[in-house]
Amino acid sequence: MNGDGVAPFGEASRRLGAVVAGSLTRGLEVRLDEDCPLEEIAVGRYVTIHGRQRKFFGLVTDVELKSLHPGFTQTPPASDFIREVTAGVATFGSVRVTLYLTLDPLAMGGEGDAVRPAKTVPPHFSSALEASQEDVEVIFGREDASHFVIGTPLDMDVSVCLDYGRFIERSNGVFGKSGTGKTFLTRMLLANVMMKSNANRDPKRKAVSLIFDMHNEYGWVGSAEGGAGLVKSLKQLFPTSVSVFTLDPDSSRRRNANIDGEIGIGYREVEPDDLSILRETLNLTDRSVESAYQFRSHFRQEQWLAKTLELDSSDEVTKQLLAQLNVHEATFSNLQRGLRQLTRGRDFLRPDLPGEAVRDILQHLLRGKNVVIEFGRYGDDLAAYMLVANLFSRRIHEEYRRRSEEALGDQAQAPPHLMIAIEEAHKFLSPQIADQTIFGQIAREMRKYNVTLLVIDQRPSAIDAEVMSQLGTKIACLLDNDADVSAVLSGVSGSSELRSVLARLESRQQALILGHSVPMPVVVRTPDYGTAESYAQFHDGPGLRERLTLQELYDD
Amino acid sequence: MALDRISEELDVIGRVIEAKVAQFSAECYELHTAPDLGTLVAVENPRGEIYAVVCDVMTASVEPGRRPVAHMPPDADADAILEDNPQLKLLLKTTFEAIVVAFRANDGIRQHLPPAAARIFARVRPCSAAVVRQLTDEPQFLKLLLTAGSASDEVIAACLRQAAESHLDPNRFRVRAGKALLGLLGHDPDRLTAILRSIQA
Repeated sequence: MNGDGVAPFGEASRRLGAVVAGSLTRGLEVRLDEDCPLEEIAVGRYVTIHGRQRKFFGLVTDVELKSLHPGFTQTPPASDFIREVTAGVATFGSVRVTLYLTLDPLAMGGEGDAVRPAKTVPPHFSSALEASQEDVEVIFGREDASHFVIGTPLDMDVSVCLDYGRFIERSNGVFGKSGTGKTFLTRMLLANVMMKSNANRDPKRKAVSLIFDMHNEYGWVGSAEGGAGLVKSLKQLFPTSVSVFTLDPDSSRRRNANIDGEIGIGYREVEPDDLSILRETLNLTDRSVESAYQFRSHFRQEQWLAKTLELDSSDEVTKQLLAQLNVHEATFSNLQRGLRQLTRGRDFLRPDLPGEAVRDILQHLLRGKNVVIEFGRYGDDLAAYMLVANLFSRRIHEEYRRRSEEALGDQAQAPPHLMIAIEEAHKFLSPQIADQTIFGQIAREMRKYNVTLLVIDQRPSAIDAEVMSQLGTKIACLLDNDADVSAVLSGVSGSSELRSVLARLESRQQALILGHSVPMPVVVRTPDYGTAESYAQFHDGPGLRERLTLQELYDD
Repeated sequence: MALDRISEELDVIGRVIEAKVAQFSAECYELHTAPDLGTLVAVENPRGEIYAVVCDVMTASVEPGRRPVAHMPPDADADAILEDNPQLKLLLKTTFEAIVVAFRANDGIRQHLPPAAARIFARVRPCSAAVVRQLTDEPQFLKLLLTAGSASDEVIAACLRQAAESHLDPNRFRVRAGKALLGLLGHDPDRLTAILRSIQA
């Protein structure tokens, strides 16, 4: 190793080569040393580069074969001896390293200013080394009250931690092709957020989740990866912190799921706003959605749906009403057909329900409980999912908004931070309807009202670009559609380099994390889930709070 | 012959008869006893031994312009002719040319040209195996060989082939030397490959 390393950074790690060219924007070119095994240097690996005053931290984004002179590659060496002589000198490996951070050894141990975004490059021939465990820990933090472990970097045995505070303060997204472990990752994220929230005493740092659980994966049990067997889900791991509601009690019973209650939606709760996101699914025209508002103002909120369904267009009274409301008959029949389609076969949607489900859920949330809404057999019914998620979220958001505004005068009144998890998010957040749904609004207004989204989706390209740009932390499993990759990486510096990383993730247990809660993009291998050891890391109750000192107790 | 014995004991192969800083000629004590092409030789010098690589060997008449005439019968053996005509050994001489590649300074062997040329009549010996190893371990002197107009690539190859024998791990040495050559001939892959082919085991 060259002796120019910056001493305060601890143990030496393997030298890879020397910086020979490059720029901050395009990345540095590191020529590998002769003895550096090219095949072990994978894309996504961390590299530290020892400059004169500081250390630079980056990611391998490309590996290239180069030759000193075209003649060496035009006539490949005839013998092993010649190949051995030319290897590493005339024909050599080169890696491109995208710089992300600088570590200032003088600021180490200070107020966290040691790690900063890289704004310059190290000089020529600076040594590039594999990042040591210590470096990775300095950058991604250790698990503590404000950091939770999300996985380990590839080829390293250290933890990569997400910053809990930063994670909950903005909307986040989990993306990946079907079958790449999005659900597992999300479940783990939610479990960690619950644990950290439980451990926090500061009400401002508490968070609860509202999970619209399309495929019954987050409540009592979930299916194991690969579909074989079952794994414990949130309610089993956090019995006192999670409440499970179901729209389909029969399904919950069949699955032996332990649930806290059944919920339904009364006709009186459905608003014309809910129809607008269902427009495509129910095949409604713009005009018929418009007319729903007229029926509502005529019949009032409590009755408009029931009464509109009862109207008979052949009836004279109805005809008069349509004329009075200035609604064309075809528009009316389109609306009525849509409403019938909506209410048909959906047992949770009933005319007589008093509409207390939202209140119940809200009470649980305000008490600091996480709520999972299971869809049972309605999981594959997109219209049901969209209706319920939109309706509940809108009303809960309204309530949150009111309380947050009240809390402006008295911080203690602020409701706990709410994270709403939705699957198939592109259905709610597509460019056509993102500005109409409550989710588009939540994603845009961010943390103002203490409500954020956890978007889970396999087609990020179908999500409105503005919403994507507002996501704080993006966690991407394997994506191989170009448009999806671009959508996830839009607005990220060095995105062209990260593309190659993202496209080469393994299809399971690997994810690229970028954004607000990690200091730099990082590829992690997510921990196993579903074994006894994996469950042991999660514990219900106050957690770290138990470790309070006597002094802290007396301070209370 | 007394002279022969003395030269064997002293391990001396000849004396410098013509010298420049970068090159010298030496005459052998005996006919046909010149060192092999590419051999590393040491020249006695009060300021420190001078090391050189043999780049050419010539046996000719002692008198310039008077070439030997070969009018013996076809069945006569070359050695037998010299045995039968002892005067021929005095009328003919063997000389060799060597390219200076290093010298010994106070702080060890330096692989560049010495400050002065070898002295006339200085004795020339083959380098000991230890010196060969020391010189060829980091064969920077190859640059001097490559740039000396009088040395062909064959000399370089011959020198490295011989040096390999004094190394404990000849194959490792060949690779290392090959890489050193590569540093000098990276711009000319064809020439490099030709040399590498002739040094490989």
